[in-house]
Amino acid sequence: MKGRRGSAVIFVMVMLMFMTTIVMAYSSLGIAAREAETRREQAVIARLAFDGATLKASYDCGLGNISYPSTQSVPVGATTCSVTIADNSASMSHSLSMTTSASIRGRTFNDSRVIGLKMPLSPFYYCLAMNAATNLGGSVTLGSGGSNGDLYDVGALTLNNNVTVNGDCESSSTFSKNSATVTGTAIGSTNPIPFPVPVAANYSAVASSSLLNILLGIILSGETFTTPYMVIYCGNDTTMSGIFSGKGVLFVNGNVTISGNMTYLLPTDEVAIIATGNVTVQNSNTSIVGYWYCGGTFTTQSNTNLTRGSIVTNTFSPGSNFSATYDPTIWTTGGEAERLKLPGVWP
Amino acid sequence: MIEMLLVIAMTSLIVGTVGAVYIYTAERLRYGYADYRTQREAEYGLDVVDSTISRAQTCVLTAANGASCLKCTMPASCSDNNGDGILDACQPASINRRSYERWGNGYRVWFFLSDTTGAVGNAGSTLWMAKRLDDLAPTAGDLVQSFTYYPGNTKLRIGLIQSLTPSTTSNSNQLTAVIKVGAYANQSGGPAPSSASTSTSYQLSISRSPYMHGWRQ
Repeated sequence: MKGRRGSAVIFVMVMLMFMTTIVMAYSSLGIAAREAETRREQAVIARLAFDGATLKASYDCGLGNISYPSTQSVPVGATTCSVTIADNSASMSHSLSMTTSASIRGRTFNDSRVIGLKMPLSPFYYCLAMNAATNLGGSVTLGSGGSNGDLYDVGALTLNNNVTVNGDCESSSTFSKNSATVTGTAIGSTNPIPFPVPVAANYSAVASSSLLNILLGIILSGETFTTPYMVIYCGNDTTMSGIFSGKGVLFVNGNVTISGNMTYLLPTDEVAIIATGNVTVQNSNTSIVGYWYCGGTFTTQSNTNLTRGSIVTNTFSPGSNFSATYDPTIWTTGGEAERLKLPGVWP
Repeated sequence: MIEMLLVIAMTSLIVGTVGAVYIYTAERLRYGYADYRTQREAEYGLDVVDSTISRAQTCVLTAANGASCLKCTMPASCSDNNGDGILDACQPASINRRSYERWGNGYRVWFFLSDTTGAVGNAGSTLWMAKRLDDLAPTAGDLVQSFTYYPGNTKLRIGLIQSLTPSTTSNSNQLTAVIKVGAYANQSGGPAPSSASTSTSYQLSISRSPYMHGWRQ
């Protein structure tokens, strides 16, 4: 009798031991499942945080709000990312290298990526940008060697056979490439980039000097910008040519006539010429420089060459043999377009 | 005599109860394990498909040798960082004037079910991934073994899969992927077909609808 009771107790104890083991295994399994799910969830949170943090950092770099190389602390929701930013333009033009880390409940996640230097949309990032339907005829060459020749038109764009675009060609309306050469992507119906309209009072308010000659018009034979990014305000029609040195802004509240060659003194020089009216190249075989804004029609004669800069114009009327090479300084340097007070970017 | 019968009855009751509780506990453990495995494999399967679709320029549903396949065109510069066969790190090819990354076209990554040979068109329940640089149907040389098997052995990463069904959505840049897995809740714990009884197996079907990367451009 005692032996049977003893066997039953032993059996119960053994079974209880088995069950305890099973319950512990079940518990471990549950903990492992929960841990795996938590890890997955944290990885997703980290990935989304990295997307947001790197995008914000690249926009801040593009706006010139932060400089680089640097390490920034970027909060995304409840997660704070440490973003180390470096210039990657030696490997890829207009790009940044970002290494990001974030700690989520004691677990650290890392990410490394190359991302574009994000800048607000602007027609000044193209070699030639137009605001109206254009049939680009004659011999037009934009850029060289597959770069610095991007073309944009808000309206319908038709290229003829003698047009060469070294870069992308975009139209926010219909696009007819015909037999033109486009080395990059050629697309129509892109999201429109608004054509900017500068406010003269904004420029006169910050001008270092103001010129006015109602009788004969203003004549500029070159210009030296003694203070970087200074503004010279021309109150009426202006004729210009000559050597331009330094970095600065010429605002013309009227029409511009280019009477002869325009050149830079140094490779680092940059001039923004903002004309509310028309711009006309007076003679054939003329070289010009600068970031041009034209509120009316930009007209050239035969063999006009924009050696370094860009043209943003309402309408474009080129003579035969027009060529232009984009100046990528504002494209590759965050905040430079704003410092040059280019319409749409400044104020 | 009565006392002895009482003792036997009580002992039997205790032993029987404990035995039944043990059997129930062991059964729940097996179910729990099957639940864990099916969930882990289904989520892993969707993670890799999601990861590929969301990095792809475009993805299409296509057929090769009569088999339904998911084919994704990946960016030109992508690599596998952790040895699982998935192209999980991509670099842009250039930046356009709108500051958007341009990615170019690189590997065509295929997902399909086949037998253990990996030949497209063969019936089977082994999930394969293949990659090649053109749009032709994948061959044996294009199979990514490290995606299907754990490195160095023949253990399947997703051994419980029953089906992987991608489908289009009303958005042209989005796909829905449904994965179904099943595992027996007995001691073998082997893969269970969808026809297996839910009283002896654990069945799981989950879906996700990722956007293709090209959508962001």
